[in-house]
Amino acid sequence: MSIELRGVSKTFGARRVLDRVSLQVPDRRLVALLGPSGSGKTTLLRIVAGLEFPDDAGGRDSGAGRVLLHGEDVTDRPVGERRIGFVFQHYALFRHLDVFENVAFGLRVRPRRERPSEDEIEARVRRLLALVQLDDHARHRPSELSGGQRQRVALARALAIEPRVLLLDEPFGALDAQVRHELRRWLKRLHEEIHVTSLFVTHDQEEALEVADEVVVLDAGRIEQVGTPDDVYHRPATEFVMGFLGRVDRFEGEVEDGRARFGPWTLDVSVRGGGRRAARFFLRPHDWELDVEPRHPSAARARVRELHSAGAIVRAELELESGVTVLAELSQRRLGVLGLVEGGRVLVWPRNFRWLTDDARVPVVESTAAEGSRVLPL
Amino acid sequence: MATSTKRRVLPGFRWTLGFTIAYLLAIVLIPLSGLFVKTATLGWDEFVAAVASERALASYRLTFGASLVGALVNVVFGSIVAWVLVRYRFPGKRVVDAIVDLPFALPTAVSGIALTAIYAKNGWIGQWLEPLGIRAAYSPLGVALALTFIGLPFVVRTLQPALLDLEPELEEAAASLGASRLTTVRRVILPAVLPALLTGFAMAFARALGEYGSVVFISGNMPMKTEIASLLIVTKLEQYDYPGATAIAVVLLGASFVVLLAINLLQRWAGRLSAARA
Repeated sequence: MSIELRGVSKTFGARRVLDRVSLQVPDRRLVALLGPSGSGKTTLLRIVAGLEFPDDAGGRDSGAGRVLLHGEDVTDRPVGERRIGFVFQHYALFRHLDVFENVAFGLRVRPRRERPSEDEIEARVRRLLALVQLDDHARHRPSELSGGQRQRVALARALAIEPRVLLLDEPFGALDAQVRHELRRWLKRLHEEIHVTSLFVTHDQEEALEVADEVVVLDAGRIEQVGTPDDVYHRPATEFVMGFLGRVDRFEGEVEDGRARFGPWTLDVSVRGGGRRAARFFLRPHDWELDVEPRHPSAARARVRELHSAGAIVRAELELESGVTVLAELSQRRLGVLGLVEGGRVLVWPRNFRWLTDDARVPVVESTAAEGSRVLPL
Repeated sequence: MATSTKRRVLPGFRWTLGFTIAYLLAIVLIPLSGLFVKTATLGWDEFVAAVASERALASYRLTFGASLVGALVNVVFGSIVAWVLVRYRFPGKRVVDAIVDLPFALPTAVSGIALTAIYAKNGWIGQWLEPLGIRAAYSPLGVALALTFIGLPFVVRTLQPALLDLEPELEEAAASLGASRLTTVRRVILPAVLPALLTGFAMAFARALGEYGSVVFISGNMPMKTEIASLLIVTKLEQYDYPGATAIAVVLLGASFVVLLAINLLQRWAGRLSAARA
């Protein structure tokens, strides 16, 4: 394990920001800490770095949280002794130093005995600048660089001390959309090249799903789920994860003996038996089946309120007869086949859905595609 | 036909520039040139005799020496005060913040009398210094003390915005890279606030050079020992030796100008070092 947290809590004043969080990050992974603002993700990262300390740190009682890096307990070590690379959202470059000296900083401040020779520093900084593709900018001031370039300098500076783990706090947060996308892909490739265990904080679920090998979803100081991007998106462990990763439409309804009723639909569910229970239902935009023919017994009528067809995927806002609106996604080809227009009519029913009763925590995944032989592929 | 003047989006340049020049002439330059005119009534030999007398030279030494000491002390301790005011929250912070401005607001004679009362042989602090063989009042030390007192707000107030501008992340970044606290201060914080620090130093120093009120009480005004240049000027004026007074003033003015100019250049150089914000 590169990073291990054991029962870490953090309180600021009366507010508990982290509540007994335990987490293990295996070697060489690129892991995203994902959560809404105030979920404690940045605090968690800063505790790993040693820029914050967990509650009860120093005490050895059972309640004290511990932080381990490569198996070594570093809870009481200050940040400078942990050998971590930290990248800040707003770069935090030393503006009075040029790019070269910024990257060399971590080497130059070492005690004389451990300091590499001038030639060695030169060679190492040059290598890092080549790695972040800034070889031509060695003598530029940070103020002469673009945001994306500055963040790459910050990354090279953090890597210069050969960190045991790399920690990035919203590394793309201050960049504009296009640079952000580029830098994301670039970071992923860089990680494939250098393989240092990396933990990055983000509130952008798309970013987490695109870049990370593994996603840790946090809410209100607790870990909701740890898993691959596929896991957390398709197999959300909690209602929060379900709602936080991607858009979701919710319905209140009930299940009774293998049947579910919500909105205008009555559908089969995989759980047989049991009395009537209230349940909540969740549908993603790609979970809907749209047609002009009633190919499903439970097809419900809807009015097309808005169509957003500029893009690879068409998004349709549908108003059910009850007045509730849902968001459905369909392909451009399907749009042509159905001939949808704004204000037009269409039939809609769920192809997949997830549901949850009050006594359960993990949503049940259901598919209606097997029902009825008349269902045609999309 | 092309007009000779460029159209400006924001109006008022000519008016304000004209006003600026007129204002500076009336308030600063004409009175100062009077100084030179008056001095010019002296012949060269008389001028040299007036400005290079033993007594005048001693007063320059004291004025510049004590001002330098005061400004340097303020750079060190004013920086700490500014740092505490910017970085920490504590009860009574506003009061402390207001106290920093007191030397600005207090009539200098009042501060001079207060300092003298405290540092004199039988004063609150003076009585403890006397047995140690330290004479605070009526000595060059007292002069430096008074000049330190009046210079403090200049350093604190110029440094505060610069420190506010300095993100705590810079220190965290330095720490994460393995820099000790001392190294961080030396290699990250100081270079970033150096221009502001130099400005604060220059202002405190310049203010001290011209200070009169607070010094005359605590210095004791012994010729050759604790007589500052501005007091010597007043003494000459009281003896109706106007050209002699202005001659010393000219020397003081010239020296101040050279010092300020040098600091200004130094500051520009330091400003280039810390460049625009990263």
